[in-house]
Amino acid sequence: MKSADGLGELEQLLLIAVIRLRQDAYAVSVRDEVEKRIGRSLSRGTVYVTLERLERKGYLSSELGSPTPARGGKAKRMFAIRPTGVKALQKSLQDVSEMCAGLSSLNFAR
Amino acid sequence: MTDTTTFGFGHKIASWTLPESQRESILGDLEEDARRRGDSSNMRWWLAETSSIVCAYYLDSFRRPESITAIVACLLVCPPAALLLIGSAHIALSGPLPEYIPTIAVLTPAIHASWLATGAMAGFIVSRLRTRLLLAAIVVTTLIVASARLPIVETTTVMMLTTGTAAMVGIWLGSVLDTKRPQPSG
Repeated sequence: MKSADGLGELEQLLLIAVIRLRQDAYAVSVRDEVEKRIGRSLSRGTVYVTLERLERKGYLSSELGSPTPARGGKAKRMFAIRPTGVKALQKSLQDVSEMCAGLSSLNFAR
Repeated sequence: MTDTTTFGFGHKIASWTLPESQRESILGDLEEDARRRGDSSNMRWWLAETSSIVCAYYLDSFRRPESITAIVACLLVCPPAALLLIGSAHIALSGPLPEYIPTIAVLTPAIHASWLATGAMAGFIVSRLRTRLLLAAIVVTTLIVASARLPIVETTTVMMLTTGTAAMVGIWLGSVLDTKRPQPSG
């Protein structure tokens, strides 16, 4: 369960992917990034809906990029994280970290 | 059917069913992915991917307060239509059908049928409850506006016109029945 302003796990993953991709964050690259990094294959619809929800919450902004021939002349919707998104992500990750503190069974060190 | 035609047809189905505001960028993403996979003429792939997107938007639309209002209004005005709407969503999302069928074969006709029935029933109620005309008019207006929030497979204008037209038919039907009622003499 998450708080009203909290982030779900999927929302966290997509926000991190957008930060990693910098200037090249759009639905296809975000989905590929999640799969490449953690091997989780998200459905296309899930990615679109979650990105749109994050934009509605004010954590992401988007704008149409330039059309390319590989896309049949259609523009990409490029996403960028907003300062409120960074704050929300920091808070969310900090909460998880604090919850895990001192739990030896959740030791992530490799 | 040539590859180009199959690609064009898959593309056309996707453009019919995707949410309007995101249509161009999503179609571009699909085209890019299809070309990258070398799978651009695979109709099954187009249908599966499009269905996945439409189902996700449909499910997400149920989380919005306007959608809950719309379903409650639908349930009050025309319970069978609300059950059809909820039932079709359940079937589409629980996945007893092949993954590329649900939205196209189940959701679209169900959404249309449920809003047609609800609109018509609301219009009928308006025409019968003369003393509560204002209240009934508010219900119809709410339904028409709310209907535009649910059907992500169609443009909002089309769905509002569908519900509005059905409401008018319901009003007309109610008026016709009313004129056939025996009038008190004197």
